[in-house]
Amino acid sequence: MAKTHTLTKKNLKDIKPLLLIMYIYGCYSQKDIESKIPEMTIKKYEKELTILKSIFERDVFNNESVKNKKRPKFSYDRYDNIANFLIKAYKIKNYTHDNMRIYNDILRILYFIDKNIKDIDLKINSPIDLLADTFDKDIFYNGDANKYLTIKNCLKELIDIGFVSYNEQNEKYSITYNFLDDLEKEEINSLMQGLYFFRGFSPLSSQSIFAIETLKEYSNFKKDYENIEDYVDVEDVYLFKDNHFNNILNDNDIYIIIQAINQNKMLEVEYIHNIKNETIITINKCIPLKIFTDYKYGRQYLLCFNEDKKTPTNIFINKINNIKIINTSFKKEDYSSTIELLNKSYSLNQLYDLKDPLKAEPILIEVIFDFNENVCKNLELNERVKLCENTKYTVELTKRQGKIEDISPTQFKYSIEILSPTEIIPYIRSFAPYGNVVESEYHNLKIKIDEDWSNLKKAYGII
Amino acid sequence: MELFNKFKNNDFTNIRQLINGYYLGKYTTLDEMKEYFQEINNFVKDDDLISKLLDDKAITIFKIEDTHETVSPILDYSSNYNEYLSPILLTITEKEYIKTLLEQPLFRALLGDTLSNKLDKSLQDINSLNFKDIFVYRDSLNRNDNLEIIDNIKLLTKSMIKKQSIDFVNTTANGKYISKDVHMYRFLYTPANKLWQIITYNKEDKRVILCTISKISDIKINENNTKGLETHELIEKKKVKRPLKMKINEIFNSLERVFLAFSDYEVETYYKNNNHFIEVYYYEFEERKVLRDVLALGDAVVLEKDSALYDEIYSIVSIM
Repeated sequence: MAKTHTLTKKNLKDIKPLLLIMYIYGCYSQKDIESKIPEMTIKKYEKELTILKSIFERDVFNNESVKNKKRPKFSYDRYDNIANFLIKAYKIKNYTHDNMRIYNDILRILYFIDKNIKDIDLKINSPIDLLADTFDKDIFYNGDANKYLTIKNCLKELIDIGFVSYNEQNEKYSITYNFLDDLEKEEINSLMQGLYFFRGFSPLSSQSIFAIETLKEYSNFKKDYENIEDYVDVEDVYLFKDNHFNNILNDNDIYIIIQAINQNKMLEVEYIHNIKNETIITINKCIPLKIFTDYKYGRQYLLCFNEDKKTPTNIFINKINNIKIINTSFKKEDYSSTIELLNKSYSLNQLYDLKDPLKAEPILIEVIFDFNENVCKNLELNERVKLCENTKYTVELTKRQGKIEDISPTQFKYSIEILSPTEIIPYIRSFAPYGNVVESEYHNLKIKIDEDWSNLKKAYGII
Repeated sequence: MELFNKFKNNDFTNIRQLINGYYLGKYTTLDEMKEYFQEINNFVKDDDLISKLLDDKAITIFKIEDTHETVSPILDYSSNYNEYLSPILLTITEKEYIKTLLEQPLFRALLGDTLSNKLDKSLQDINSLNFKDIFVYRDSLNRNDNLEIIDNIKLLTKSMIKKQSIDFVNTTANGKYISKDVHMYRFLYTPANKLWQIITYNKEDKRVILCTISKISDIKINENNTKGLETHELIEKKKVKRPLKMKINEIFNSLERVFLAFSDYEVETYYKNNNHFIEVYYYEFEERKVLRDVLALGDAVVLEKDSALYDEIYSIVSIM
């Protein structure tokens, strides 16, 4: 049986490294996990696994013993598990139950005041007095000598989260205007459906999930409250290709980065490096410019300049241990050339390998798709034409840019101009054996790709 | 404000739901309260744990009286129950997030003009998170979402919710095909190229059909055919029995690239003779995508002889 205190005392920062490793790699033994998280002791490892088991359901967290080896790993099928189960990590942070009760009571009382503003006893002249009066009557709060301070502190937190508003002129606290009250039930359903869709791939998807949960609870509440029948539940209807649930674990860091970029403020980043099985933590002050990522692998990087303002760096957001905004401003205009470069190529590392990236000219890459008899053995001409058409259609749908030209019914050419040609290697390789890059004096893609195939031939015992 | 905050904590919402549940007449006795708590609580499934949480003094919002263990509230001002509810509100970050999504034409199209404009007005004092100036997608195609298909998406959603079959015409690279009496399973969206597809099931020939929405026309919902199919179970049968089995060569960041490339498939991983292996269970109708994914990874992965798609990959490598 899971113990209450074990479940509730964890917070995300403690379990994020283990969750990421379990999600991305899985692990095979304590020794294996130790190589990725050096501070993980056997005792800690067993304890963390027990916690993960108690939080996540069996169908996503596989901790079964296979061939006498434990291989715990998150494994799910995108057709079965549409909802991001990792969101549970956000909900287990420990707080005292007492506060939870106080916040709810304050909200209820403010809600009550809003509804009964005319009937309130005039002797009680401020919401805080009314709250204090309630505290006196309720045995739960009995004996709270600092009730005014408790109430004021809680009100401040409720203002920060956006549940309560404070009017300085008349010193009035009230429930924040809830625009959901102005929406028809169909509109709440439409909003929920829009959020369901963006939940699958948008940045900060935790907020999409939280907003959906709020809307769901609100709908149920309104349904009963107003006796409205026939609220249509919004079905989970969307699936996404390349859906990386693990990014939700970075949302808190991402949110801080977003705020820093929007406010032109610098960041202090504590970053974990693993060098030769040694973990090194460095702390840097940096100027945040962009977050760049890809849909395919879902990795998120912070593009920033170091404090010296000369060197651009990519920080792998997964490896951030701690991050905070510092009160030093910067001017975005000073970095416009770097931002402009990003529009030409998305691989800064490769760009900075160039002597003068700002003056670099895009390089033309040509790929010939050929469905000849040698490649398409046992296929009749009409079948080869059909295959050519289908492949052209796929290239059309998936190409980032560039153009397609017909050469013959069984051949076409795809051309693209790009600053850092190696970026496109996986894409070209994925069309083997039909797509072949044309040799050029301006790039060495053909040599590189041929090298890959040669390595594979050796691995498969073909040569 | 941290995103992992106390107002999104299970305890906060549990207490709110217990309060509101009482005033909405969901329970009157302790047993009913436990039952209700279990029903609303999607986090804790343990009976003993539920009792422990309910016995916690923090949740003594109620007095438990008489032999029937009737529940009554401690905090009570009037007999008008509706005024004692704990309001359900969006946080500032949730509002900022919605405001940010409203900057995206696709979100607005899904919501419709009236609702979008209404929300613009309601959220005018809220800051946008400004995603469009911050996030750069390395593999995103420079194209806009095709908003002309939104009406079809709404129509298809309706058929899915009502479990009604549909007819449509699908235009492919090789001509037009008429699909009759098929059932929607789900939409499949590819964010990188903003491609909307539908996964449908044809009960006649037990086939899963994947279509691009912009290529389908003449959609007709068979209103009278309300006998829905349990498409989920039928699709499940299309999962391959023999998985893709790959040995990973640890070059550059290949380990991470491979695991992430297949992270949304059902996978098993293991470590043998100093090598990492991954087994991927995919669906028959995804075979072409999986094949391309393997080829894209180049020499980072080598298929095992008993792997699915081994013969296909072997013959491609042979002629390269």
